[in-house]
This record gives sequence, C-alpha cells and structure tokens, in this order.
Amino acid sequence: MVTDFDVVAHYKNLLITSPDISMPVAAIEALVELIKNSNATTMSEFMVSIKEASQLLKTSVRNSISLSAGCDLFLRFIGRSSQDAADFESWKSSLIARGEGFVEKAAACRHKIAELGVPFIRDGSVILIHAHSRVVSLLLQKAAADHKRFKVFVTESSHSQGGIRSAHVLRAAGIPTTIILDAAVGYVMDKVDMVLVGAEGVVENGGLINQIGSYQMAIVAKAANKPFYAVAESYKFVRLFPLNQYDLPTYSADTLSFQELNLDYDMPEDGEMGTIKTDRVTSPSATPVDTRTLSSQKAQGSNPLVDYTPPDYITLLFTDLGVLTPSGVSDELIKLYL
Amino acid sequence: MSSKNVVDDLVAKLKRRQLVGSSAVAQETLKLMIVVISKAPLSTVNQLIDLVKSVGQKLVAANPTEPAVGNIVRRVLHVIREEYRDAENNTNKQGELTAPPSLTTSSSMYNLLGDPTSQQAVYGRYSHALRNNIIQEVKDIRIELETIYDNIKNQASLHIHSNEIIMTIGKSKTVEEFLKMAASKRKFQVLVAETAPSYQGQEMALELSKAGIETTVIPDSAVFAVMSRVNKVILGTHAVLANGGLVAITGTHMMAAAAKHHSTPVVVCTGLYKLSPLYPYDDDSFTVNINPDAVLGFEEGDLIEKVTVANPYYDYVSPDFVNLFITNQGGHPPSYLYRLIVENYHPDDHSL
Amino acid sequence: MPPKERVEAEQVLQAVVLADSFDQRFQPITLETARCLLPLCNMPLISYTFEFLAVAGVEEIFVFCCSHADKVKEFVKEYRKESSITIHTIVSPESMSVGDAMRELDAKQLIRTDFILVTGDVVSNMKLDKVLEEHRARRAVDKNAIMTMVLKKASSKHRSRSVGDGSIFVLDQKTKECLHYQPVKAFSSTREDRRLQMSMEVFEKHPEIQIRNDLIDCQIDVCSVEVPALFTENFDYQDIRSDFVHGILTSDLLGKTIHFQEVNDVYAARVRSTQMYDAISKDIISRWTFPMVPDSNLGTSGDRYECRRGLVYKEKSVVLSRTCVVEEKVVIGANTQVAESSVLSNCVIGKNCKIGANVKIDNAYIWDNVTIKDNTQMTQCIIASNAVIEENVKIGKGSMISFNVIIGANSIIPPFTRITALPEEDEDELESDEALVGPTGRGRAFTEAEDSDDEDDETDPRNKLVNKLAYDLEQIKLAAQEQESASEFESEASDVEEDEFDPVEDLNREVAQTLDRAFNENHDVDIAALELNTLRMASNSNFHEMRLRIIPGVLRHIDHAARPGAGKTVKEVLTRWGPLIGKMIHDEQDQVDGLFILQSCCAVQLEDGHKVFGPSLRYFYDEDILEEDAILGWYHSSRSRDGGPAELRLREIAAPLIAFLEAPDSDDEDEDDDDDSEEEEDE
Repeated sequence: MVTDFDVVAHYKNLLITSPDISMPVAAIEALVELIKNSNATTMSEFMVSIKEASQLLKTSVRNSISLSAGCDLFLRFIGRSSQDAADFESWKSSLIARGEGFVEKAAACRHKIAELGVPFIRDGSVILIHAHSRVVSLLLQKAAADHKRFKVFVTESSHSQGGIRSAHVLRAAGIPTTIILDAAVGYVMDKVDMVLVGAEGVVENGGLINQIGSYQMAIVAKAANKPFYAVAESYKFVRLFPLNQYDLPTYSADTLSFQELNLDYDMPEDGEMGTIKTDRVTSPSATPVDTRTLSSQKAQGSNPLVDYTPPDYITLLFTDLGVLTPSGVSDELIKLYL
Repeated sequence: MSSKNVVDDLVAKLKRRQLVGSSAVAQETLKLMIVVISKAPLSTVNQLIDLVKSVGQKLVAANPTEPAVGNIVRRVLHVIREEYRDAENNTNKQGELTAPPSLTTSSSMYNLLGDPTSQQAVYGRYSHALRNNIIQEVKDIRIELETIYDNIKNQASLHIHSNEIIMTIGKSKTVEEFLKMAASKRKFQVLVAETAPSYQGQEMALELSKAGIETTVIPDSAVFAVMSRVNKVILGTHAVLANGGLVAITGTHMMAAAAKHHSTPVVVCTGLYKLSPLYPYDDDSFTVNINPDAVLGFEEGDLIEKVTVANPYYDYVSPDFVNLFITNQGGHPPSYLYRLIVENYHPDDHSL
Repeated sequence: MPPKERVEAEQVLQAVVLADSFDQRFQPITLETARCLLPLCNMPLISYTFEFLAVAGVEEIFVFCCSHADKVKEFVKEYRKESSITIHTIVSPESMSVGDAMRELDAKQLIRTDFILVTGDVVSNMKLDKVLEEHRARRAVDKNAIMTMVLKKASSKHRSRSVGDGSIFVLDQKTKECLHYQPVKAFSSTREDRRLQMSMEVFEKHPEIQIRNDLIDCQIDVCSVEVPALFTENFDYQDIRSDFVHGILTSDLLGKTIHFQEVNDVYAARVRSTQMYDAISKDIISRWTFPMVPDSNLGTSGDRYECRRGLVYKEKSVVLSRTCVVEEKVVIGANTQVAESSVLSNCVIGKNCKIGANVKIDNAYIWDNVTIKDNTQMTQCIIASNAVIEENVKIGKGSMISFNVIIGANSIIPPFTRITALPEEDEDELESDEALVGPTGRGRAFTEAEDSDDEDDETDPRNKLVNKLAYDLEQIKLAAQEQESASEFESEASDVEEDEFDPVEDLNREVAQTLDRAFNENHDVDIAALELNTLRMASNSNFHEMRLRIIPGVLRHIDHAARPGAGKTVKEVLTRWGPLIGKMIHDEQDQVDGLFILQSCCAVQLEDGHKVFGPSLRYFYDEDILEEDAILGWYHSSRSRDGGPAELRLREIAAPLIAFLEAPDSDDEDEDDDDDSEEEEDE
C-alpha cells in the first residue's frame, strides 16, 4: 500500500533544515520516517514499500551515488535483520531505533575521520583540496585547531562554486587559502605536498567517485609523485565495480552526459554570468541549476557532476573504520555483504 | 611493584639505545609482557587490557622509531581479546546461541546499524584458566619469533634459481639465512652494496662468503650502474608499515628505485612481528639521524662549525617499489598486508 | 685465580660526581643555583652525567655538593624515583677544590673499589666498558697504575675545546702511560707558562713519546681506590690535573703511574665555561652526542620532543604562529608560544616561554618561563628562568641575564654585560640600575669581586675573558700574537742578564767574606785554606783567581801604624797568614804568577805597598813559597818592567835580593844582614 508520506519531500526538507547532514544519512532518516508512517502489515508488503521509496529517492536527485549507497546499506540491513525478526511490530520498532541510532552515529563519523587524518598534515605543508567537502573542511579545521601551520589551495569548481565556499570556511578558521582555477591544477601541483578530496562514493576495488575534476587531479598528483588522500564515511561504500568512467549507474539521464551547447546563445547584457548564490537548500554536489540564471545555464549546458578515480591513483582512504589502502576497502565491503 | 621496575628498565634501555634491532627489541618486549601479565591482578579482562596498553604506551614513547615494540604489545592485546572471546564462546555454547561468529570486527559498517543499546564489548570475568591460556599463547608467539628464520628460509628455493645474480644491501640475518639456504641447493652470485657509513654490507658479504656464496661488494654509488645485470633484489627491513611501505637501512630506497627503473623484482624477507599497523605520516616519520661522526669526523673543528652533517640511519621505501613480501606465513604482495594486520591486531589497539 | 676474580666481579661499580666546579665562571647565575643544575638544551647538566654513568653500568653514585647543596639534593631525590641507580649525596660546604672533596671522600671511607670520577657537567655518549676493562687488566698486573684518564682527539681549533683550559700531554702510546702534564693558558704571561720542563729520566724508560696538544680533556677518570688516600697524603693538591697529575708524574718517590685512553669516535666534553656551554649545546643539537639528544627524551620531565628537518626540536605542545619563522638548529620546550613574524635560529628555548611578535633570536639560550615582548633582538646570550624582557630591547652579545631580572622597554644592553636581580652582598634590597635596565626594570650589573679570583696576579686577565661566551677569539688572537712576539724577545734579553748572576762579583764577595771571617774569628790557616779551596771548587774557579783575591786580601790587613803585638804589623801578618798564600801557590808558574800579582797589588792596591813588598818577598823566599828561579824569572821578565813608576820602584826594592840570589852561593847570613839592614833603613 502506498502511503501518503512523501519520502522525497521529507528528504529535501531534511537537507534544508540541517545543512550539515550528508545525503545518505538524510535518505536513511527519510526512510526511517517512512517506516514510522508505514501502514504495511506484512513483511513483504513492508519490504516492497521501502524498496519503492528508495527508488523514488534515487531518481529524484540528480547526483545520487552517495544517496544510493546509503539506501542500499539500509535495505541490506533490513533484509538481513528480517530473518531474525520474531514478530512484525517489534521488528519495526527495532528498525526505527536502529535507524535513528545510525543517524546519530553518522555525525560522529566525520569527527572520527578528521581525527585520523590530522596527523597526516605536517607542520609547514601545502595541501590541495577540491571544491567543497564538509569532511575535508572539518579535517582541516581540526588540524588548524591543533596549531599546525599549513596552507591550502582549493580549486574553484566553477560549476558549483564549491571552492569559494570552502575558502570561506577555511579562512574563517584562520587557514591561508588560495583559490585556483580548475585548469591550474597541473600548474600548482609542484608546490603542494599532498592532495585531499572528499567522496561521494567508494567502489569495490577501492576506487573513488567524487565531484568532477577529482580524476584529473589524481592523475596529475600521481605524475608529480604527490600522495592523494580521500576521506569517506563508511556508509558511502557501494557495491559497484566500474571499469571506466561511463560505467557508473545513473538514475537520471544527464548525470554523465554532455548536452550540446546552445548554439544561438547570446551574452546577457548585465554580465551576471558568474553570480554566486550560495544556496542552502542543495548540498554542494546537487544540481546547481537552480542557482543560476537561465542564460548561464544555456551557456554551459549540462556537464557531468561526478567522475571515477581508479584505485591506483589513490594513496590512502581515511574512513571511520580506520585508514585504509584501496585494497583494504574491498575487504570491508565483503564483510558487510556476506 | 617489581613489574614496574622491569618496565622502567626496559624503558631506560630503549631510550638510551642500548637495545637496538627489531629482533632483540621484540624478544625483550615479549619477556616483559609475560612478566606483566603474570603479575597483573586478577580482576576484569578490561583492566588487564588497560594495564597492558599503558605499559605499551610507555614503551612506545621511549623509542617511537622502533615499531617492533608496539607490534608485540598489539599482538599480546589481540591474544588477550581472542582468548577471552574463545572462553566466552565456550561458556555460551552451553547457553543460548549468541551472535554469529565474528568475521566482522566490532567496527565494521554493519555495526553502524547495530544495536544502539549494545556497548562496546565488556571484557569481564578474568579467571585463572584464562590467564594461563593467555600466557601460553604469548609463549607461542615467542616460539614463533625464534623460528622465523626457519619458515622464511624454507621458501628460498622457490624464489632463487641457478645462475641468478641477486643484489642486496645492509646486514640482515633473515636475508642471510635465506640466501644460505638457497645456496645449499643452487649456485648463484650475490652483489652486496657496502652500505656506507656503517659498512654493514661488508659484514654481510663476509658472512655470505663464509657460506661459500660467490659474493661481490660494490659501493652504494654503483648500485644503479650494476642493476641492469641483476635478476632479483632481496632486501631485509627494519619495519613494515601498514600501507606496505618499508623502513629499512639507508640506501634501500635508492636500490629499490633503481630496481623499479630496470623492472627488477624486489623481494622483502621479513618476520611478521615487524609488520606495524601504523602509516607513515610523511617520509621522515621513522627516520633516525644518528651521530654524524662516521660521515665527517668530529676532529674537523673548522668544518663542523660551518656545515650541518646528517647521518640518517633509516630510509622510507614506498610500497610501489616492493613486489613481494616473504614472511613466516608465506609470500604476499604489498596490497595484502592489510589482511595480515586485521588478522593479527585489533583495530582498537592500532593507536596505543 | 678464579675465586678472587669472582669476588671482584660482585663488587658494585661506583662513581663519584663532583657537583661543584669550584670556579665562578657562570656567575651571576650560579649565585642562585648550582652549576650542575643549569639546563643544557632543556635538560639539567647533571642529568647528562647520570645518563652517561647509567650507560656505563654504574650502580652507585656519590654526588659531592658544595654550593647550593640543598638544591642539588632536591634534584637527586626526584631523579632517584625514576632510576634504578643508588645515588647518595655528600654535602661538604667547606670544600674549595677538587682536592678538598677527595680528602673528604677519603675521610668518609666510602670507596671500596676502582671508581669513575667525573664532574657534574660532563656530556658524553661514550661506553666506558673498554676503558674499565683495560684499567682493571692493568691494575691486576701493576698496582701502581692508579688512574686512567680518558682523552679525546680533536683539532686544535675545535669549538669543543675549552680555549682557556688547554693542556699538553706527554704520552707513551705503547704502555699507554701519561708521562707529563702541563696546563696551557690561552695567553701566557710568565716565562714559566711558555715552557715545558721534563726530567731526563723519563726518556730512559720511554724511548718513544708523543707530545700532544690536540686532545680534549674530558676529565673523566677511572681512579683506583688509592687515589683519595693520595690526596690526603699531599695536603696541598687542589686541582686534579695541574696538581695531582702533575705532582704524581714529577714525583720520583711515589712511583705511581697514570695511564690514558684515547677515544676517537665518541663524544665527551665538559661544560667548563660559558663558551663551552655554547659549543656543547651546538654539538647536542647537531646530534654529535647521539643518543643524548633532545628527541631521545631522556629527561625525567616527560617531554616529548620531535626532531624535524633542519634540526628543529619541538615539543608537542608548542604553539607557533603562522608567520613566525623557525630556521634551523632550534630547540623549543613545552607550552612555549611564539607570536607573529618572529625569527628563531640556532637557539634553545625552554618551557612555558612567551615570545612576542617580531622578535629576533639568534644563537641565544633562553631557559624556562621567560617572557620576551615584541620587537626585541638578542644574539649570543644566556637568559635565565623567569626573566622578563620588555619591548624593543636589544641585548648585546655575550650577555648573561640572570634569574628574575626584568629589562625595561627600549633598553640597550651593551655586549658582555651580566645582569643579576640579587641584591649586593651586604644589602637586603636590590638597587636597580636604572641606566642599564630602565625605570621599569629590575636588575643591576654584575662584576666579579676582585678577590673572588684565586689565580695569582701574574696571569693575564685575558685568560679569564677567553672563556666567556661569544668572546671572539679570531680578532684577539691576531693582535695578541704581534704583541707577544715583540715582548718575547725583550724578556729573553732581560732574562739573561737578570738571571745569570755575575760570577766575578760573587767570587770577590765570597772571598772577602771568607777572609774576614777567618781574620775575625782567628781561624787556623788550614781551615781558612780549606774554606777557600771549597769556594774555589764551588765557583768553578781556579787558583789564579783565588790568588788574585787572596794576596791583596791578606796583605790588606797589614796596618803600618800598628804596634807589634796587635797582629797587624807586616811581620805578624805575614807570619800568621803567609802560609795561606802559600797554599795557593804550587808550581813555578804559580809562583811567577803570584809574584806578578804581588807586584801589581803592592803597586796599585795597597797604600804604602812598597813597604810591604820587600818584607813579603823576603818572607816568601824564606818560607820557600817562592823559589829562586821563580823570583829571578819574575825579575827578568819584561812584564815586571812594564807598568807605572810604582811597579818599577818595587823592582828596585827587590834588586838587592835579586843580586843576592844571582851571586854565586854567598852566605845566608850575609843575605840576612843585608835584608835586615834594608828593613831597618826603610822603617
């Protein structure tokens, strides 16, 4: 039975009200709300409704890799625990309890990761980061609070202006930050000591799915012999094994495709092409379409939002399970899905 | 408490560098652990774990560049937890079925969604029998430490073939035994880099030649030049880090880089007690700069005022350079080490 | 003999640490605390010594404290808690030197075996095993080998050589014996300072020796159990090297030998002066003393230093501002904060310091709890704990700022100033020197009391200065060398004169004195002759010289106006003392010579000598002191004809005698009559 509960709306609401929350956590929280409001009486009915809801969520968002990771995790958990359930009601309530517990723990994840990553930042080092990632910002803030002296270069990420957001956050913490062009990554790579990026998802072979531009950065880092570190919470691990860039599951058609530039596009008179409106509503990796004027949208067209970085380019991953090498990730995934 | 004195003694020896070399340090630490556990009061297992951890912290702080200390302490802690779990399972077998046997460790993702009411496992009920089991297991570790060379050298004939030219650097007992065992069955040549300024390579060459192996000593600067003729590079190491990187005697990085350039396989012989769950925060974390006297004599009064002389004892070698680890539990690629770490150490103990 | 060895092995290895240096080189800082407690790279000096001894396997340490004994005792008590060595403190406030301390030690009878003697300020990473083994082996064979000194080879201009405390060692490499010791000062002022004197017997026993000036004397000695007793026997031994070693080696009676061990690839040095403090700090930072380096965290205070690139040692809790620059060779202690734009290089900073913005610190040693405010500059100085340096202060090189001093804002401290916050000796309250430290400051300039120095006045005052921190030896050496070479020649010349006494004058004096004595005390001629002979031999003289003096000396006693009976007439004098002259005359040549002397003496030196001449001649002839041939020879010689009228006149007086002698065998009586008649005529 379909309920009246609008999972997608609830999800979006969550993102607005708590800007710090990450997408998969919001998704799980939304699903938990769904369980609360569910009228299902049998297990199979219940399972179907949950599956449908998660499907809805995945399709509603443009960039849904991390969201799918979260949803899949929750579904898997439900599936496993259903075997042990004594009766339906108690099982439902236990699920709700677990889900809420998870949401709480999830917030702590970030701090745990930041703690793990701080010793890697040495006094006097120069770090290159990509766009805006909350975990990375938290890590750098913790390092600054620890009296480490370091400088940061951040790529502008013009499509989402994420770099500029990052710079605001870091400068507020007293960290000297320089914003560089996305195209200037190769230029600046010799000056940096390490590269630090966040993650949308971590795939089975240890590879990384992150905002567009990460793969490029990883290749340049490898060529320049600089370590490339990624930070990811463990609920972002997905059971995918992409072989190339185009193997990522896309639930919306235009995540990874390029649309033609509008050929008879005219430059607007007011020259407001690059207006930055930091929108609290969307998380940085979500579609920025709403924040731009129609003209700039036409100019840029649709561009892929995420790319895939193979594990050879990644030195280490900082997760709440500890510091892992890319090959260690698959081990963890196996443990989960066994 | 006499165990406190024993701990202080070992701490002092480590600080004063009277005890150096991973093998010796590991043996001493193990002896100390046995004493500590035997003398610990019989309360809860949690308390025992805390006690061992605090002793471990002191020892590690005494010489942070000697990872073998921490490794042994972590092994012991792992043993304690394992034995406790086994003991619990045994008693529970009589009772109801509990959670499935843990392939999952307590910090897996699965547990994020785990029971919010369940705390971290409380280790209680420390009984005499448990203590005896623990001590027995720890003594097994000691036996393992003593038989490392046997396990490793038995793999020698798999890796070394006739008429090969092997290159090595520094003086490592493990590599020496490995090569000697291979020499008893095959005929091959060994090139040893002299490893200035300690010149350990020369001692190594002496030992190898006593065993009848055709040995040549080359200066460190000649390593790259000669590498094209080498079939394999076999190295010893001081410590192995969690990412597969090595902390080995100075000059090893150079040899490994030369080998990579020539696509020569690099094989590292090491006991598992040298495997540490720590990561190298940067290339310098495990370097020790010792007395520069061997590089520039102290008598050169004028020079030493104007010149800074560094004498690093260890090198960090990144995992890209290593092809295979031969350990007392078989051969593994660097990417597999995380598995060995998970099997031998508990995640809670990674940071003592 | 197995049983004996076993007993010896059971004995515990003892060490004696002299916690007092018995000099005042670190004043005014050492007015408030003991020198061995001063921090060197943020660890108290005596800790280094204890660590060194612990590595050597020492199990019992006796710490000898004099000044600030209570502070040392306090420290030892704390240290004992962490260490397994037994440490006893011995307090003896009256000891003024190493010698006194050793005598005290002997009196207390605490030493049972061979022991290690060090001072409380030695820094070394040496393992003493080999030295101990060799020492014991030597002792087993030869009980006279009482001490083994440890010496380290270094070039002469090495910064770890204490410039003012140099030494020359004369060594025999085969037997490892030290044959002679000589302290060398930087500026030698007396002649003795520049010369090395050794006895020749040394060369008989040791055919091959080395004279070495390239050794650092770390003053680490392995002494046998007899050493304290030797100090008690020789009450005046003060310093262990310049008195004890020197004394033992130059004394033939004792027959003891001192050995040495030369070490090459280990580090050992003593913090003897502020200049050495500087040098040894630098050595520690450059890791020459590994493993006694700050990041081994050997101290008991739980520090966690890390060594970073550029030899920067930082404790974990240090807070450095973003723009401050830590160059190289810096040690920063726990909880210290450094504000913006400051530049630190080659310095050691203690715990809990607050360093302001825009401060330049170079080559300085700053201890705990020091506050340095903005815009100050300092170079080559020592700032003790709890001092406060206000804004815009410039501290000149070589300065020492003692505990609790406050230097007011905008002060400029001239180089080589020492400032202390202690009141003067006789006052209760500190009188701050406002000109120096400013109105808000607290401190007065410190100068050494004149009598606090127990070196004698002859020493060059530059010898004291040379040990001071930052004393620039290069400039001074160049200037001094020129001066020295000039003055050296001068003194050589004057030396010859003043030192070589004038033998001629001496002999005159001596003879005159002897004769006077003989006359006055009415000695026997034999005795007088004996004395004069002895004098002759002692002054390495000959009979001619003696005659030159004795003949006039005797004849001078003739008093023409005297009455007979007083012993002063010609006849009486001649009778009495003539034989003395006779004893100076032996063969014919002597006689002729004697005659010449007589002639010249009567002619020139004596009043009315002509009256004396004749009778003398007669007397000597009668007594057979002068023989015929000699007289004739004299008379006919051309020399007797030379000379003034007086001489010729004497010849005339002698003429009758000559005639008589030449006359062929005439009667003696006639001669007598003639002579007598001549005499009577003359009278």
